Amino acid sequence: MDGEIFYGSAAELERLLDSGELTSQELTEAVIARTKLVDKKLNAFIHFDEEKTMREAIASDRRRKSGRKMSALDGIPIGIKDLIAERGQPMTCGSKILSGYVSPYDATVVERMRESGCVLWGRLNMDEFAMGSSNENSHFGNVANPWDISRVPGGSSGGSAAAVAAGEAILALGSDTGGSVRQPAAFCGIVGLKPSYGAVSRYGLVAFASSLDQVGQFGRTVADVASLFQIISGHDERDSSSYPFEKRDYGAELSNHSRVKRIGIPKECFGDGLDEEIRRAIEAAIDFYGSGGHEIVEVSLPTIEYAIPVYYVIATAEASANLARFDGIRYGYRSAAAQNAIDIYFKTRGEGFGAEVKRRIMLGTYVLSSENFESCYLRAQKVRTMIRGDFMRVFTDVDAMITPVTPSAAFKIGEKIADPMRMYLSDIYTISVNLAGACGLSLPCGFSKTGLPIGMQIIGRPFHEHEILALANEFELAHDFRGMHPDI
Amino acid sequence: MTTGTEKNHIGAEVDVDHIATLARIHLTESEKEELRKNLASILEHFRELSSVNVDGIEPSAHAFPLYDVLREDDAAGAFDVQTALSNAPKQRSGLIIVPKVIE
Repeated sequence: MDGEIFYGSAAELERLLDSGELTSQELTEAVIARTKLVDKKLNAFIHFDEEKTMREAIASDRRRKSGRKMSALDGIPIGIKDLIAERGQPMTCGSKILSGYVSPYDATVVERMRESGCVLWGRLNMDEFAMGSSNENSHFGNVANPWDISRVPGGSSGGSAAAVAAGEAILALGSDTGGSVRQPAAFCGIVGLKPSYGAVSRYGLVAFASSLDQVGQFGRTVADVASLFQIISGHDERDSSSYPFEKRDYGAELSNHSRVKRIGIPKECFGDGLDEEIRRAIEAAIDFYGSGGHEIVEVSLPTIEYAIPVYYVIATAEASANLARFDGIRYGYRSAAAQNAIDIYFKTRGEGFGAEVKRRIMLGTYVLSSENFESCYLRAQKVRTMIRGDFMRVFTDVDAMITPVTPSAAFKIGEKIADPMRMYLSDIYTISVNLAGACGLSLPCGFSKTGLPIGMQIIGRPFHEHEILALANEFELAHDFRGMHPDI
Repeated sequence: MTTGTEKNHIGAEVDVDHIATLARIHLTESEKEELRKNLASILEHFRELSSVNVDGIEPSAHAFPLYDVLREDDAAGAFDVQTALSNAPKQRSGLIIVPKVIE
């Protein structure tokens, strides 16, 4: 393998592990050493348990030696966003209110990774309770973008994206409610998949907005992301919103891009407000697909202009209900200043939640209050039906869609934090995919003149991850972005 | 187009004290001041929704319809008491300790 081992793809590393040229112990040591070297600058990790992780690596080597390799990712170190439960490990969700919390059980995705021999490596920084687009809302400090440490890595899964981009993990789990996997993947120049709603179990994922949340995957190659999706996806009876869809062999179908005949380009996603360099990079990618035998057609999603208000009504409403469980009684932080039982709720939540979480709980409580329920919440749910209807109509005509991921490349730390509405607008292209329940993938497709990564979004029909992965793979193989790493 | 039965409160002045009480969150005076400002500007954007004609449209609670998902009524996957209480801020004798509720 050329270059540093911590930048290896899971597929290359699997070959080296199988041939005995490399052990998981050596690989995991290299990733840990890399983390210790660069994380002082990046702050991608909230916590890691080196000893536990090394035990898992050594166990993987033993299995492999005795011919009991469990999966393609056996022995591969994978980071976990700090809102997915791993038994015996702390879980903070980036919040003070969960200080001291240790997960008493494994999330289904973690259980499936364990059963596949993955090395569960480190708890990754994030915006508090996944609320944010810049990773500036973490109680544990902001994360820096490895391509330019004066810039944000995106959010809310900023730690996951930065870690994978900087070689602090081979793959990582994140979560995506309105773009929290795809946007940081684009800002950090890696691949991020937001699976279809219902494709991956959320059992053990701390809920933000339950009708939108999905567990997503970060990797440096499309094939690696497909491998992790293969392992963690599929129906789970412990999550009543998980869907019994037909799973594919995602690795085998990567070369099957010709099945995607027609690609739609939603004209609403190329209007004002889109950075010119990003527009040119996406248009070049569209030309690539056009000359590769796919038919390119302009399509229209007229209702997506309402996606941001619909999202912020629905997501904050659901968040205000989901976060009611953090009351200082059963787990986590409890205010020492509380005078009586009811006061525990008020003071614990007042002291334990950060500014953005309070803002969203307040918004959600407002839109669910009896005087606003119909005009805000119910109305937003109806417009959501229309947005989903637009997507499903377009998907009767085309097999996939291509859009930008973000209107601009990674912005400066501090640039948008004082203006929440401006921050919310940075998710304009990703949010509607969650509202529609479709799958979406962010793929590196260029660099700005200032050296910042640019991502394109490929959107697929619900449960057609194999198609967007194949399209992404076709592009990746013809371009050299996967070989480029930040100078950190 | 707003239908006659729906009142349009979106963007009206937010009673921050009332909402904070409903949400059970203690806020400082400066937090309240900040929220008064930015909730009003965010709700202004929500107002766009009142121009959409939603007559005859059903609300979606989820991305796709999945109703009444039930499992067999078998006891499964329960924690023992110690595990269930392992994260409680205060506990004693298998119970969570809170201040006196009834005087």
